[in-house]
Amino acid sequence: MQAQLIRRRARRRLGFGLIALAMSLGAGSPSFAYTAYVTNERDNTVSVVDLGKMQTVKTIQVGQRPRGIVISPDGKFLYICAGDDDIVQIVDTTTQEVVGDLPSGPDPELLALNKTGDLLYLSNENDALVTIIDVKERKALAQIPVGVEPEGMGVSPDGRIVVNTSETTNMAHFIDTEKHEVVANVLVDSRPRYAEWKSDGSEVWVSAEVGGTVSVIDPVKHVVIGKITFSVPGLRSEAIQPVGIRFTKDGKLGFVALGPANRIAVVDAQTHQVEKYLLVGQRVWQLAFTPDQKYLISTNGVSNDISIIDVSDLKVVKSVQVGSFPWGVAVSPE
Amino acid sequence: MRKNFTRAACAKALAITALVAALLFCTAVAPATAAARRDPDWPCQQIKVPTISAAAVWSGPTLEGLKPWREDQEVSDLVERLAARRTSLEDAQKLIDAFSNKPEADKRARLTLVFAGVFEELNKQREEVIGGLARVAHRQEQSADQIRAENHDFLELRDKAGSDPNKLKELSDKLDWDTRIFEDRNRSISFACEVPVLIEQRVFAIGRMIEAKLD
Repeated sequence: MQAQLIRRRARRRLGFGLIALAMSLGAGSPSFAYTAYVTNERDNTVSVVDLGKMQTVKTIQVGQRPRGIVISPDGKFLYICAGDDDIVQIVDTTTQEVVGDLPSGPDPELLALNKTGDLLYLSNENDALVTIIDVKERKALAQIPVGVEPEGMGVSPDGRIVVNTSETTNMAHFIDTEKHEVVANVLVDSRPRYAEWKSDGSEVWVSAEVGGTVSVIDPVKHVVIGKITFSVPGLRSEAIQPVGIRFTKDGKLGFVALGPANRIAVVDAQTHQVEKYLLVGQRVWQLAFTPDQKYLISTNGVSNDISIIDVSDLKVVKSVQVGSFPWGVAVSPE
Repeated sequence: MRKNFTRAACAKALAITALVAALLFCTAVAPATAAARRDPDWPCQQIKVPTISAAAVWSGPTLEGLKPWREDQEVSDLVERLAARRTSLEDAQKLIDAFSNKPEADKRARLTLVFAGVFEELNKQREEVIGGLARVAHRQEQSADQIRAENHDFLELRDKAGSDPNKLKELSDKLDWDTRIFEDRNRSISFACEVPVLIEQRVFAIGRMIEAKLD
């Protein structure tokens, strides 16, 4: 009788143990399915990184000098700027092969998709143009003249405005996506590289690589309402070159890649104060979250790796070797 | 016969002239940045960074005011092995693991000392490479001047009535040889230009391994 009781207790304990184990696995599992795609500028490849195993599992050969990369909302296709081939290539994520291209105009560098994934906005650096592409029809809908050497592209959460930055004119151009025209220009610091909207549409942050700052822009009044500066003891100010930006969905934290400072700045997105600097890899360029925002991925151009950062701990949990000169990164939606 | 040789030699000389111009453009001018154009000591496309700053590769405890790392024999031995580029990064990781797995009270301080040593040694190696590149850059400029002069002499002799075909051949061969050396050296320079970056990558990678052991 007593032996039976002990066995039953043991079984119950084992049962609880299994449930706890399953729960702990389940808690971590969302990120386990994700895949990161990293463009390698010098190799002409895209590295496929399994974020569960945290290792590169495949390398896809693409066009010359791949930089900007986005993934369709359903995760089926990657769109990659192959700048030296003057095309945007389409990669099927199932077969992991190039399946076509889009008429991008010359020297495409960075691109952005609208939320529904049917319109692609990209900057043509040499022609001072922003091209709008209908993804399904694979044709250019419009070309909008902007400042000299356009680069960063950011679509507003409601899709009505695209912000483009021009490196030489030092401006953020606000483009109406229905009228296909520039509705406002905002002067920012030298060589603006990237534009990112907060998820509630209340602010646009624009990084200035040479100026070493991030301008916080009110997208309604079209004025700079704050400027974020960076300082790392022992580093020359010119080594701090802000590029990629990402926000957490709750709008509380902003992450700014600082190029050759080899760090990501963690910024309180409400007070615009830098909270912390994370040493990640060499020449940190672009950033992407996993969809659950458990991890942030950075591309590190000189150390030829990506860093996987635990967002809640603000710590680098793993560096994964990819190809030569990793530049852009996109993460699968599931 | 002589006419044929002269025509061939002439074509060769013109090709060489174009080649030298192109090579010089590649080595001295095309490095593309304004900084490279201003700096006769730097024959590389890569941006010249004379020394690596510790803050760019290390976010652990300060390296200022540490005791000399060479005074700690075990640290010194480890630094020597980690700084040697023949030690693979996999082996470097094993060496750091073994060092940090030993129980001791001041592990954090000694690991910092190891990085200070690696940083100093690799920065020194890197500065030597940069110095070497400057010397090669100057030598290449001298070679280019010499090839231009040889080319000029060759063309002058070729255009002169009744010039000695043997002498013309001798000049042509010399031009050929010197151009070949110039080209070979240019290829070596482009490989050597990668070395400072490789060293910087190594400092960063080792720093990251050591920092991971500090917690």
